[in-house]
Amino acid sequence: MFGERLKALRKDRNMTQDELCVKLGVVRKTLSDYENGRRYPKSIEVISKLCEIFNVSKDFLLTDEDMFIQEAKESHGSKGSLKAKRLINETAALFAGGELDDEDKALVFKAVSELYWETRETNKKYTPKKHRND
Amino acid sequence: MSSYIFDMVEKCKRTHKTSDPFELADAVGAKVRYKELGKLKGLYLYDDRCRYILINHDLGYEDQRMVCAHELGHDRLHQHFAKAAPLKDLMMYDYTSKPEYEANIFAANLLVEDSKIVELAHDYDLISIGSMLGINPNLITFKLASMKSRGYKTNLSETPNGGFLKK
Repeated sequence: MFGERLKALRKDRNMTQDELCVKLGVVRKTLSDYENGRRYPKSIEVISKLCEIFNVSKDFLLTDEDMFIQEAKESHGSKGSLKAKRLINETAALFAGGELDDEDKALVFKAVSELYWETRETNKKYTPKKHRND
Repeated sequence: MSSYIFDMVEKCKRTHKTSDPFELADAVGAKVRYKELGKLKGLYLYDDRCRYILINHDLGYEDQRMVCAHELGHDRLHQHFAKAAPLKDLMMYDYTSKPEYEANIFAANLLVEDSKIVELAHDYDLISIGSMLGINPNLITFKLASMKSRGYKTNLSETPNGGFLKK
């Protein structure tokens, strides 16, 4: 999803991959991988840089799922984002039957992601004291 | 099989001294949350040691009670499934898959007493019993199926009508 949007945006601004990758500060292969969905930007900086270059907001470039994973990563590190990804995959399996339309999917996704944050809050008590930072 | 679920329901009631699905959910440590879910009636979700019972907040109290009892059945019987993927419930009276069937048996046994059915079965039909007890007639059919497998004899037909409540 992210790749398709990025590619469309780049084409829309009449840019080549060469031009964009210089501005972004990555090699062309990396950019190509982003666009074809083989790779996803590791840090939030790349995304905010892209937003700056194209002058768009983050939620234009990212889907709800991407935003959710990004947020999870920022607050809980790679383990948090892994859990978020797993939750999304599980929820996606839920929609496989095709009984739910997009509107319902969005609602269920919202409910599930709210619960994700609740779980993290509840599970704080299992963090050893030496690793707590609040 | 039904009797095993029946025993489990009785044990739950005995240990926690309540037969209200909401109180019981609280007692076993499952968190009940009300959310907007669109067409979905309920969802049972397991995430990192936390068990959630999601209920569509648009439903009326009686429906919510039934959904809660059904999801509680998932919590007691199918936690291991939920660890792989959440259990969804689009229509409650689905008896096509085994977990759903079992959860319905659980809900039916939790919400309806055997004695009530024995008392009412002589004089009323399925629909009126349902409305008297505030429970969907389809759930009563699950109760009847469970009672029949435990050796009760009733004059009501217990074939559940599948697509009855499919929205």
